[in-house]
Formats: sequence, C-alpha cells, structure tokens
Amino acid sequence: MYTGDLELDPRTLYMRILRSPYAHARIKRIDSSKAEALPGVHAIIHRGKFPDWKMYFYLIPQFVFPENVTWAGQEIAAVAAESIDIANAALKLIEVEYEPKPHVLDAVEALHPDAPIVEILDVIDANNIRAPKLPPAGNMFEGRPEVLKRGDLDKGFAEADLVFEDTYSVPFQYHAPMQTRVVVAEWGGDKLSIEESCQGLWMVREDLVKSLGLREDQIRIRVGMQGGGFGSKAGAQRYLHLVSRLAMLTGRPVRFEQTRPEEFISHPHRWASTMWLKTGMKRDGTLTALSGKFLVNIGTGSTYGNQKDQMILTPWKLYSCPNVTLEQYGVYTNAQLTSYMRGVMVLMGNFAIEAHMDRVADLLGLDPFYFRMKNYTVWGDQVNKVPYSAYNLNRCMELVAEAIGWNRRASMREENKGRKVKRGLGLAAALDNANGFPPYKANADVYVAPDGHARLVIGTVDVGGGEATVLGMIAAEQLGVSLDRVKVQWGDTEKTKYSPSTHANRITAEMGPAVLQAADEARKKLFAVAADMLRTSADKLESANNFIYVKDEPGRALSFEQVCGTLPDEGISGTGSRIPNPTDWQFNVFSAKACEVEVDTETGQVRVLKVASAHEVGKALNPKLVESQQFGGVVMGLGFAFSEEPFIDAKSGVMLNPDLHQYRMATVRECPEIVTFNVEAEDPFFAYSAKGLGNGTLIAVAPAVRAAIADATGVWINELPITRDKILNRLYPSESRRTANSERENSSSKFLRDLSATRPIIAKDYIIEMGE
Amino acid sequence: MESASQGNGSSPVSSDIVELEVNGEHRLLTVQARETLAEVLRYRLKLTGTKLGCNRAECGTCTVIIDGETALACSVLALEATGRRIETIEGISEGSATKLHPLQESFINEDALQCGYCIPGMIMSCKNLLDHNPSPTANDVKRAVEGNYCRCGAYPNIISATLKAASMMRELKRVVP
Amino acid sequence: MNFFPLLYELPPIKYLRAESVESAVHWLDQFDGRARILAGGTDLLGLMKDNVTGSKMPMPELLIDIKRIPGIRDIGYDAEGVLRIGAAATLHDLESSPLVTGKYSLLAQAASEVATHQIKNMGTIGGNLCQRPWCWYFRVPHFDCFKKGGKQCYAITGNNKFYFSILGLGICVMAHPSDTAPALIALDASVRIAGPSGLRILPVAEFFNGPRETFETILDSNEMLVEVLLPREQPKNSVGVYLKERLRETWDFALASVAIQANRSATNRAFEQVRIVLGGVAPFPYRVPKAEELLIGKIVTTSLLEEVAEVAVQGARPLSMNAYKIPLLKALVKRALQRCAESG
Repeated sequence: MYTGDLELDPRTLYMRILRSPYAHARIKRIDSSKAEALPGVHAIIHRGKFPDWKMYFYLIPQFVFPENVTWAGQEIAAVAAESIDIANAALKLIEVEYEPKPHVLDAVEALHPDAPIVEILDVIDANNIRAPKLPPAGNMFEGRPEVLKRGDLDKGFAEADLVFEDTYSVPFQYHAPMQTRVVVAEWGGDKLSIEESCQGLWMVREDLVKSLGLREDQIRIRVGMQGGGFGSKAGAQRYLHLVSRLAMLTGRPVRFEQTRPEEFISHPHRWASTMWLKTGMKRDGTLTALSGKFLVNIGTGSTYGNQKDQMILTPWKLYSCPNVTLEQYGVYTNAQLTSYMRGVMVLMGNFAIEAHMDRVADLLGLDPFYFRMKNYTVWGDQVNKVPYSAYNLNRCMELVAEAIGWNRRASMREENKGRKVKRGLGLAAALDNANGFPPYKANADVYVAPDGHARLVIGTVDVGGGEATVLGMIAAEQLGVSLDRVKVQWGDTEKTKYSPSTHANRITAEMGPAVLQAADEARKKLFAVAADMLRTSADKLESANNFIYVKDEPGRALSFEQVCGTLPDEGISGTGSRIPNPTDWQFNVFSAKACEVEVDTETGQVRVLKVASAHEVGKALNPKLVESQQFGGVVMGLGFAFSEEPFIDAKSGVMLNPDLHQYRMATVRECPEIVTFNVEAEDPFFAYSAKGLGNGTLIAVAPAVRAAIADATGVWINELPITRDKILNRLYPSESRRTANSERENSSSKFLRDLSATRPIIAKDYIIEMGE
Repeated sequence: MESASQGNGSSPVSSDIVELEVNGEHRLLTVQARETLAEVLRYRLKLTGTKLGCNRAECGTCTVIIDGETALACSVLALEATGRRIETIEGISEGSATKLHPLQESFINEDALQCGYCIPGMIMSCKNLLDHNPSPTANDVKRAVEGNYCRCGAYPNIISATLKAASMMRELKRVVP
Repeated sequence: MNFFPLLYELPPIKYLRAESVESAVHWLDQFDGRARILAGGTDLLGLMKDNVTGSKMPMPELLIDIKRIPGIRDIGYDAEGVLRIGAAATLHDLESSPLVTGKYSLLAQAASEVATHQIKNMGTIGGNLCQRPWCWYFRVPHFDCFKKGGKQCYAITGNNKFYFSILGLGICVMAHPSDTAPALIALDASVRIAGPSGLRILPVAEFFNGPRETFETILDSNEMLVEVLLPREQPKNSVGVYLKERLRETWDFALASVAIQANRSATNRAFEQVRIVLGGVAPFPYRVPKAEELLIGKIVTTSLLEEVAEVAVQGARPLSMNAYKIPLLKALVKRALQRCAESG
C-alpha cells in the first residue's frame, strides 16, 4: 500500500501550505484570524504561533518559520481543515505583509561583497556534528572552505611539462520520484502515529523527537510502499513536522498530499556547483600537481551544510598525485533548499575530475583508458598508504572498455571523416562509499518457529531495491533454509529495532552483518538442539536446504521441521548488530562506465547507443537486483548528463519548470542498450563480502558521455546538462551569438582560480554586469 | 451505451450521475463535475491501483484503457467517461492474486519494477500494445511506454518483461486457442 | 463533510455534454468567455489545475464536452472531394487513418510527432490547433504576462532558451507549439468555424494571430472549431515531409520543425509548387514564401538547398538564449527538402 492509497478515518483533516511568492523577503506581519474564523478550519500554524520552532531533517536543525523568507515557495503557514476546498480557501484569508528584498541565486554572485545576505535556514550549533559550527561569513558557509592538502603544490607545478586549467559546472538535480509525498499523522493524546512515505523509520523518528519535544516511545511510524525516494525521504521531511504539529493541535488525523509543483519547489534537492581544476602533468601522463576549487551552491539551507569535503574526496582519492590542494566552498543563495540525492556530492566531484582528466589525456595525445589505468590510485589513503579493503577498479575499467569495443576508437575516427553523423566513445570510473555513515547502528532479529519457518524482523524500509529480499537471503543462507521459508517483517517502528535509512549504500553493507549475526545465533541454538537429537556435538553440524546434517556424514540429517518441532511455542531467536568499521582500511566500492554515442553534427542531436557499466560490489547476493540498480543508475545518470535542470527566473527567483514536462528526465526512448557487469571480490568486513550499490550507480555516466561526444566531434562541453543548444552553439559559433551565460562562465572561472582561503574575496572584479 | 445521466445536454450541471463499465462491472454513481476519472476510480470506487504521478497529463503514471485505447485518467473528467468501457490494473488478472496476467508475472520475474509506483500505468500501456500487436519488437515496446516515466530506471527490464509476456501469451494461444 | 482524500486541484466547475454544435455555441455565448471547449482536455485541465489565470484569461466555469456531437470525430470525403476531419478527431485517428496517411501524409507525420501515445489518443486536432503557449512565464501563475492580461513579456529579458521564437517576434515571443498547424498550412487546409451567426470557412493560414494579440487564434470566445478541411487530392507527385527536432525523442514540443508539401514535375523532378511552413520558431506557424520561390522550376542541388535555408531564416532576430535555433532550422529545411527530392 502506498500512503496515498490508504483508507482514511472519516475525521481526517487536510493540510495545505501557504507559500511565499518572494524569493527573499522579511515577514512584517502575519495574521491568520480571518482564516481561523472560516467554518471547517481547525488549526493554523505560522511564525506568529511558533516563532522559534526548529525542525530536523537528517538530524540537522533548520528553522521552520523564520522571520525572513529565503526562497520562493517557502512555507509561511499551514492549515488543517475539514476539506481541501476549505483549506485552500483558508490560505487565501491569511494576511501576510512582506517586505521584499533583493535575492541572489548564483553562487559566484553570492560571494560579491555587496550581495544580498541570505538569512540561512540552517541552525548554527557547534555541539551538533551535523550542523554548521560557525555562522556564514557573508554568504560563505562557515566563512571558510574545507581544504584537503598533501605535498607541495608549487613544487608540483614547477615539475610539470604541461599545465592545464578549466572550469566545469553541474546544475541542481531533483529527485522527482513518481510518487509525490503523502502522509497521514494522528495524535492520540499521548502518541503520534504516522503513515509516511519514507526511506527510513528511525531517523525520521529521531528528527520528530527533537522537533516536537516528544519521547521516542511516543512516536510510531509506519510505511508500506513508498514510490521512490532517491535520498529525499530518508529523514523527516519538512511538511512532516507541520502535519505532526497540526495533528497534535487538532487531535484529529491530518493528511497532506504534495502536488507535483510543490515537490519541485519545496523539497531539498542536490546542490549545484561550479568547479575549477588545474593540473600539472609530465609528457608521459604522470600527474605532478592537482589544484581545485569547488563552489557549492547550497541554497538557503542544506543538510550538513557544505557536506565537508564530500565533493573533493573523489579528486583527492581517485588519481595518484603527490601534490594536491583542493578547496570546497559552500555558498548560501536564495535558490531553494539542498540535501542528499543519490550519488550526493560524489557524483559532482567525479564529473569534474573525470571531465578534466579526459581533456588532459587529449592534450597529451594519450588514450584516455591508458591514461586512467596509469594514474588511478591503488592506495585508499595516498599519504599514509592505507590500502582499500578490496580494490577492483582496474577490473571494472577493463570490462567496460572491452564491452564498448574501445579498440575501435581509431577506426571510428576514420569512418567519421566526411560524415555528418559521427560516433564516439568515452569512459570514466568512480569510487563511492561502501559502508554508510556513523553511528553504524544496525539491528536484526531472527525468530525460528516450531513449524520450521523463520521470521526476520528488521527496521529497514524496502524502497524497491530489494532490500528485504537481499537481507532475507542472508538470513536464509546463514540459517540453511530456502528463501521461501523466511518471512521478512519491516516497516513499523513499533515492532522492529533501529536500522539505518535505506540510502547511501547502507543497507546491504550495514544491515547485512547484523542479519548474519542474528541468523548465526539462531542457528547455533538450533544446532544445540539438533546435536542432542543426532547424538553428536554442535561443532560437527552444518545446515542447508532446510536440513541440519552432520558435516562428515550427510546421511545423518534432520529436517528443519523435525528439529523445530521439538521447540517450545515461542521457538528460538537470535539477535544481531553491527560494529563500526575498523580504521586501518578504506572502504569503497568501485565502478566504471563506458558509452558509445552518435552525434548528428547538423542538428546537434546526441543519441546514446550503448552503455557498459561495471560495479564492484564485493558479492552480488542477488545478481538480478544488482543489474537493476545499474540500469536505474544509468538512466538517472543520462538524465543528469543530458536534460535535467531547473530554470529559476533570475529576476524573481521563481522556478519556471516545477513540472515533469520541462524538468526533463530520461524517458525509455533515451534508454540505450545497457550491458552490466558485477565484479565480485572478497571483502571480509561485510556479510558474504556484499557491499553497497544503489547510491553510486549513476556516477561516471556524465563524464563518459561528455568524452564520447568530444571523441565524435571535438566539442568539449563543461557545463551540464549537455542540451542541444550547447552543442549547436559550439558547432556553429558564428551562427549563434555568444550568450549571456557564456560570458558569465568565463568570469566564474577566473574568479574561482583566484579564490583563496586566505585572501579576501574580491568577487566584484570578476562579475560582469548582467544588465537589464 | 445509453447513459442514465441527467445531464442530457440541455444545460450545464455541477454534478451528475455517471455510468462506467469498470473492468467489466457496471458502476453507477453521482460525481461532481470537477472529479477526474482517476479520483473516482481511486477514492469512490476504491480501485487504488491507478496511481497519480503529476495530475497534469505529464507523466503517464495514471494510464488506463478507455474503449480499447490508453488514456490518462487524471485528465479525463469522470462525466466525460460515462458509458465508456474502462480497464484498470485491477482488471487484468483473473480475479485472484495467484492468477496474475502474464505481464504481471513477467514483470515480477524480470525485476521490471523497483519502487513499483509507475508500474500499473506501465502495464496498462504494455497490455494495450499486446492487445493490438501480439508480436511486438523491442522498439514497439519502447514506443508503447514512451509516455510512462520510470524514475527508478527499470526500462530495460520493462522491455524484456513485455517481450517475454508476449511470447508467453502467444504460446498459451497456441496451446489453448 | 467528505472523507475522500481528494486533492481536488480542479476548482468547482459546471459540465455540459453538448449534443450539437448549436448547443455548444449557445453555451459558449451564454458564459461569455468563461466557458471552454473540452475535447482531449490534456492542455486545458492542466492550465486550470495550475491556476493559470489573468484579467484576459478567467478561470473557466463551464466545460463543454463536444466529443459526443454526432460526426465531430469523423474523417471522410464530401461530395466535392474535400477531406473533412471533425475537430475532435484525435491525433491517433490522424496518424492511423488511411484517408490521411495515404494522400495527406504530411498531416499524419505531424500528428505522429506529438507527445506520447496516450496524449495522441486523447488529444484532438482542434485542441492541437487551439492549444495555449508553453512559455513558462505564461504557465507559471506568478507572472502576469501579456497573454494573461498583464503588461509585459517576461521572456524577452528572462529565460528564453527552448520554447521561444526567433522569427516574427512581437510583444509576445513564445514559439507556437502545434505540430499539425504548420502541416495544415502547407497542405492549404481550411477550418470550419461555428459561431452565433452560423458557420464560416477560413484558411488555416488566416486562423492564427500575430504576436501582438492576446490569443493565438482568431476564434472569439463564443466560437468553436467544427472541422478541418483538406483540399481535393494533391497531384500525383505531391510529397509531404514533416521534421521535428526536440530535446528528447518523445513528450517535448519542437525546438524547431518544418512542414513541406511539394509538387514536382513528373518529367524532370523540378519543383512546380512548394509550401514551406516553420514550427516552433515563431509565435504562429511561419510560412516562408521567399524561400519557396527559389525552388520553383529547379531541381535540388547542395548549393540551392543552402540558399533556400538561408532565406528561410532571413530576418531571424534571436533572443538572448536561442540563437542556436538558426543553424538548427537551416539544417531541418535542407533535410526536409532533401527528403522531398528523394521520395516518390
């Protein structure tokens, strides 16, 4: 059941949200008395009633009703009424007096000393590891960048035969799940019961506990199916706090369903970024120096602010280079809210570094596959020489290169000559987290009943990636029963224990060991019973295929039913949890993508003909599910590469395409032939060596297609998405005028080059007046 | 089909009786003019299989079959559909969860669904294809679902599942003509 | 009090199932601008749900469903050999009817390029001709643009990258999104309009307004399209080609499109008559007679195609972000003419 399908209690009220028309304004006055007097209105909340209320999303505090509105569409008030029509009518009666202020949407402009200052939604809290520790300086997050440094950059550049610098950019990307958010919350005097579409029950609950001042046992959250999250539903979403508060105030169930335009306007989505990179190389392709500055547009508030060094980690780790300085700056703007989305900042940093290295290889006249294999890192930590727990990047690269027919490159270039429709190849690799995040808490319980059937009880949410299936498989394998004998129970805080949210490659990696441990404990108890029955000792036993048998004499066996039939009514149980990762290894998963594209040089149309994708997942417990995640990642990666972007009107700060028509995701027609590989290798820190996958399957698609387009046409596009206009502008520069955007891009790159952690920012030297 | 509606064209109405044949069953109910077919199916008839993705004819999630052609239920007023034959996802299996339509079985076997939300509309588009063309190519399937978004990106499996279902159905027809 | 969890994005409205054109016109007239024809509804209902309104665009109060008017969906020849297409014929009807695919394949090609198959099943030729613009300043309620009754066009100084014009610009710079309109003009089609004073026929070329008008068509609020009329059979060597370029291969409207209907000499294949109409690049379907003239009596060569393409985009004044449409349009014109030359 999806939350939107639930039958409602007849007493249910409906929530609607009043949203700000301004991108930046001070609320001078808000008066809901006329609206409250409307028959059928039960409660209205706004800053007049809850001025200092802080909500939590991913355990990060943000203001709910601040004095200053900082994005167009921000929640000003929420109404609970007996029908949608009454709720909508009430919104119109709420009187709000705004004092509009100038807004800023672009990260570079936001660092201008005269830029409007964004009164951020993030709560500064030095004691919360996830909140900003310091207030912004101007609009710069915490007033300083995250810096990663090793070696001596000047020395590195001095040694170089060739130095190359360039700028890249990626837009905001929106989750756009097919189901818009729906929730029903009810307050029963002492307990809040919530039916929500979310990816994780426990973080949502923790968020609400903090926001509403309740105890954990006062909140019950249930989820059935949720129609796509991609990171957006792993914590307590903004409207959930509003709905819960209204439920508590009215004592009635309150339902909220978000419309599709509201989805785009109000839900935090992936950051945008402008990135500048400069590398020094020797003629043979060895890297001597790598310098980078990454400006992250975090909108008016973000989860975990700047994400620390999450974007620069890929350039930091992926390539072998002794002299590196990377800086990641967060910048607040009035461009909506940002937060985690599948691939998080790894996707963004990966695009920049892989795009840059393709160009470097090209300038050196080196094959990009060879260049990468030569320069990809083998150390998880290059300074301290910490190894990876398992490393198969080269295997991934080999598989995709072969699958795409990489050795056809030279002949393809020959065939392209004189043709209007040209073909090209590109490839790129990625590394991603394998293990999720602290506190690494994960719990599982396994119960075996007297009828020989087992129940796995977990607090995990199955979002459709097959989490319940995979964890059930681990339990079944460890117990020694067939999968159809394991029932997986999930989706209710009341009956399960803490599990991480289903996101960020966490579930197989973190829950897997917990499930393994639980099943193992249950098995040991069964073996004790079986040992007696078989007149042997437990250490001589084994189980498989619904039988427990003596290892050396398989004929001496008992079925599960026979053993379990002797158990008391409550059966036996096992419990498991997981400990944090050891620190003397680096845990990552590796992947590679290769693609073939066809470019019509007259119309600028790009067709992706084939994508090869290889992921190293330790062990593919369910190969079919691994393949599906790779398919899904390629499709989402293609959307990111070619067509997904928001258009926010510069003058008003209002989003122009809050819809599924002009926010263009890839359709089936854009889906090429996709060939996938699961690269398996031992990684002893994970259950059956199985690591995470879902989060990272879209990484490396964008740089691979960009390189393929360049291979075909010689045109390098550095700004995603690669839409038709960008290609045509480059293929026909005299026909198409230089646009306002391209001039701004040049000034961005100069600005970034000179941006420094230690020097004051003089952005105005670089900003071209945008004019009227 | 003769409609029992009061609104026989003589003057505008705010609500009216509508007569729908849904999955073979005749349903007669009074609805407001503003109610879309999707809303009537989901909330009045409790057939929540048909999902809403955008409510604006921009995503294909709410695809149903009306008089043998696919349509977007969110953009058809219930009153427009009076007298029409409507097929929804609930109607394609033979009455019980254990006797699924070959498309449904195939989608499960091929893992053609992840979050599952787009799937009812997707399957209706595929069913409509197979109703008109029992031997589609992969390209035919692509064309048939071009108007159905799947954000989880399950397209490759959706195509292979539909082709497998088509072949299953041709096989069944041979054996049980 | 109801407990249906309805989102009710549509406001309360009245509905009429029209039994005749006269009845539909009568009620259009009665509601004086607050009634709209409901055919496919895929555009209209979305506009209403998004609350796109303004002083010149009131929220409709009455929707007149014309789909059950006898004959309104029919496609058939009349006694004079004119092909009559009912205004509620769906785009799918057009792309699949042998009467259209046979002799008026240009129209079938254009209809098949529209959106997706669900939209084509529901969308009608009347709706395709009368659809409102896809300029986002028009579609987002926040902006009180000229077409809604406001004073200015926001796209000229704002984001004008995709669905905006490079030719024929005026106070409004949206690009007309219809695929069938350029095809119908190239086919020299006409429309039959019904109003309070009766029926009249108008060439499709005169059906569209220029960019200084609030509405894209000349229809008054108490008039409706009844039929599209395609002239008698085209000569034997007549060929039609519709090419559309868009951001993705489905759903999207044209970044640029070209409809060409050409008659060539049976002996030497020279162009005897040709009509070239551009779509997606002007606020109305844009015929380019000067480009057509260059082709008369000639056979296609590479240099001729270049010349024709240059003339086709003559006078183009791109906005700040859409100059890429110039090379795109030229490529399309050349390609479409090349196809005309190669076929038949």
